[in-house]
Amino acid sequence: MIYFDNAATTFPKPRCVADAVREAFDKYGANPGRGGHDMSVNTAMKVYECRQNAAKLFSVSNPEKIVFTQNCTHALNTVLKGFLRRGDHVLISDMEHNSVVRPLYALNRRFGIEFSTFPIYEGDDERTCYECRRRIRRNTALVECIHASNVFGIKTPAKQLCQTAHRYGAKFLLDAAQTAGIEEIPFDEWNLDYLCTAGHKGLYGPTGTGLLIAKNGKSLRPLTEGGSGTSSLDKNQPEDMPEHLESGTVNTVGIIGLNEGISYLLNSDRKALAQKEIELMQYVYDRLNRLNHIELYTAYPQINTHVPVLSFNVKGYNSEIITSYLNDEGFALRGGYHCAPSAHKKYSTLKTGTCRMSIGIFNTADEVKQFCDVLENIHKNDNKLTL
Amino acid sequence: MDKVTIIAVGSITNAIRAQKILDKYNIRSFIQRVFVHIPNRGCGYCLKINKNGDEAVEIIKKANIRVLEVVEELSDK
Repeated sequence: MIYFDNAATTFPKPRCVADAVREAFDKYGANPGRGGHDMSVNTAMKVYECRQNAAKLFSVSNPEKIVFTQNCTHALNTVLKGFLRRGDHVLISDMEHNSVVRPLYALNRRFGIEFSTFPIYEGDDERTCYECRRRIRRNTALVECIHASNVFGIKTPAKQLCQTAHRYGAKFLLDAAQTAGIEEIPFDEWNLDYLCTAGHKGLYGPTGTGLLIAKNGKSLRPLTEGGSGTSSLDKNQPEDMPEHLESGTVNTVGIIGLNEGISYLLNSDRKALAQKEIELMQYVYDRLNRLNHIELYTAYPQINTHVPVLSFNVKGYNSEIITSYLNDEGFALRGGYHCAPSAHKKYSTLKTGTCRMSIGIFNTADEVKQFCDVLENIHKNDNKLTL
Repeated sequence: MDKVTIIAVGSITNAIRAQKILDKYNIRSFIQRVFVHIPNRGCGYCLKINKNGDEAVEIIKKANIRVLEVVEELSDK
């Protein structure tokens, strides 16, 4: 199986991640932050090491700003439900994932919190910022934006959008699910308020891990209250970060694996990895763009404007039929809507969805060549293209 | 008899961070659970330092780590 579904979850992981997970079961099986015995404290030290490495990767001054979550959706819900209040308005891009849209829809129904969208213009950051700026309202408390579309791979101008939000007194939340890892995202320097990401995508950690980075996490109402291992006679949730937002036992095994994924990236030439990924995608784009039976939706992928995520369709076929066929041919891709209907509305692909190819750091030139060869001849296999 | 200082902080994360900062100042500390030193709070973590803790407390506070309580005791060791 050649794996091109890295936008959903990266595979494979670096060997050291699996080794660390195994070691976690053997050596760090205690509950961190609960006991005073050596294994508990040593486990807490390993968890803290991951906070330190995450802080290093995102250039965050204080590891206590790093909050462990189950995934990016959990992190986004923590911010949206912990920050917004009745009467607030939220401005989001027109390419957001359901992990943002659904909580906002629920908040709207429950508390009347309003949200509206601003358009992303592929490759035109100035226009994107202009459209964002002119839609900010007096009661806009938060601007949220996906850093790169999980469907079309288009990057958004996060730093400038953050500045725009701040100019009008709003906070800024960045969904970095598709960019965290080899993309440079200096949290403090960009003056971000909140960054959410998954641990199991570009950070090459296990599933069940995610990160919220919060400039001022104490100001968020916790999504869950409960045991923190401290101040147990006090009925109030502790205010100290990150425990304020981390009730209950954290996923130590996952976090220890995530720590290795992040360490792997910190010890790699991330710029070279990003360059390699985009060059593989450029090869795919060039090959597919020549084929009359293939439909592409975005511009030629470049490192400044795109991440290596490409949506395409075989003309006349539903995307799920094509990805099912590709599965039979030995390629793992995702079809459908990728949990982002607004992105499909924007690109008029609501009827068919799209086949999504996403490249990871371990994909090779030979793999993408094989993939293009199969797509080149796919229309000759009409009889196989059925559900 | 030597002096022992117990510095209670808000969480295990605070305690580890504080310990790492104190390491840079060559102040050796030990992370442990609070025992009877801090009544009415329940479970928690503290740093134990085998000497006067004034300098350590100042360093920890400067790093924006909330110090909940400082208890000085005499050790019979």
